[in-house]
Amino acid sequence: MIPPVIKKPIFLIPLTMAAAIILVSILAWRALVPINQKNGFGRNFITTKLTMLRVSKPTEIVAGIAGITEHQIYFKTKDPSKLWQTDQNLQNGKLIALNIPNNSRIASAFYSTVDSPFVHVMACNGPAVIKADLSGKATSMYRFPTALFTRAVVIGGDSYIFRGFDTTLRGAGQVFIKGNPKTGELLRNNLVKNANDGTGITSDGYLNFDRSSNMLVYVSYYQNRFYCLDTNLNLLNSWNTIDPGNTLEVKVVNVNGTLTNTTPTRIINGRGQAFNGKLYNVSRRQADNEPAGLFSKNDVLDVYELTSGSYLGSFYIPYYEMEKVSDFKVTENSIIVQYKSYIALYKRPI
Amino acid sequence: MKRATIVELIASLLILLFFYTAVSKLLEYQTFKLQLGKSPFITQFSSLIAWMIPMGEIFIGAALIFKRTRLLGLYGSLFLMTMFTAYIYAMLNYSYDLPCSCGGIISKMTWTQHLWFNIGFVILCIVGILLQTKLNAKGYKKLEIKHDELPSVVYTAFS
Repeated sequence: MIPPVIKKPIFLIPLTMAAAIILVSILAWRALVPINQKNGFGRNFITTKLTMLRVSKPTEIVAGIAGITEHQIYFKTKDPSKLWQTDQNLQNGKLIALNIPNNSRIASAFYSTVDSPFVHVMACNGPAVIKADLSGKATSMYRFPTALFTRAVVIGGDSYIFRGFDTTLRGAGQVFIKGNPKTGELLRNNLVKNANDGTGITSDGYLNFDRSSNMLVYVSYYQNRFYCLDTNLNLLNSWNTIDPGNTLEVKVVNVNGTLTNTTPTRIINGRGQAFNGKLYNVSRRQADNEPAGLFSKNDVLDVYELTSGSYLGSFYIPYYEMEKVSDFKVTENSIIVQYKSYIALYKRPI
Repeated sequence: MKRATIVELIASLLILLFFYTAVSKLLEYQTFKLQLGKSPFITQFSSLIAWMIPMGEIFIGAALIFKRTRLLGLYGSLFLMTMFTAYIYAMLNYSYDLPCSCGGIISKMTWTQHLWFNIGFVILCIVGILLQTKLNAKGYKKLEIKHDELPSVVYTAFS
């Protein structure tokens, strides 16, 4: 028999809420216990605090860093036909209109890369590449005889490297493709694949091109590895990251024509950039000698030498005004960082 | 505004919310189950939760319709909405992956917007419970006054 006083709302309301919170807490605790165990590696920090040089707030929503010229910095927007341009101090921002169609197919997934005086818009679901003049005049559109692509970089002139699906290679999942629409060159290479990875999602990662070393770098999201290729898609080397974690298999299913994972994804490597013979890789794994408070409020970058795979050290890119890092680009002397509402310039530590 | 009207309004909002989201989830059952499987906290129980949540929402919605079971429905709503709010808070702060398993128009919200949306409904549930409890007590007192005039068996049925 429940005492009448317990039936009063002043007791029942907090009891009900506490029961709900306890249930969720138990589920969360069970899920987090294996994750919070030590990951078995340590980091050498070059610095834990970057020096901020400039910060500004664009009046347009920026969605990535498209490129840098001698005097300007270009940011991608959600509209493939528009770029946000600033000077080298992130000031004097203005919208640049490009002679590019803005249809939903292009806008659904695209990369914008500035290679002055041109900008290349690579439409993943086209699949197509649109080469436009930054002054807003001429535009060329190229289609490739392959299926959709998920990653794309410009390696110079009219040559592009993609990672995507190739209808000529059955059951291969995603492959690397090199294409030049002017010369008609088309190369394919089925590197970086896992068993049971028909969709290429377990082997998914980010693709970068380092002009100074003329090397392509592919970093796996779910493996502790990165791959260095030449511009003819030959594998030069593959190196381990400092994280000794194993490959995390991602189970995938096809739902109404959309490929999606069926289990939670645990990313090892987030995003990164290859620059001047080094790889600046954002790791999603906390080191054993790293305070949880710092790891959760910054993006940690591990720096590697591309030719030897040597680990050179780590540093943090801080969150700003409680906003996480959306994109970053390393330059000769600085690091440009794009947040949701802000763009910032930091002094490069290595 | 009368207490009874406010409670009716709150109950109506909750009924609308629960029936809408339950039907959305049942109509897109496979997608809902798939999205639950992506959640790090409940991936192991996704099959069970995929039918328990919409059935629970329908049951609570039905309890809210009838005055006799409305208080029970309000407590059920409070439990469910607190659980959803705590889940979103935990996902935002501790999860390494953020899928969406909401129904209908709510899936258009960001996780943070959804958190505030749920907090709003938790507050509505609490207000509804307090008012309904007072209404129930008032109704009981009216009966109590009449009790002296009625046979004891009738008093027992309404207590």
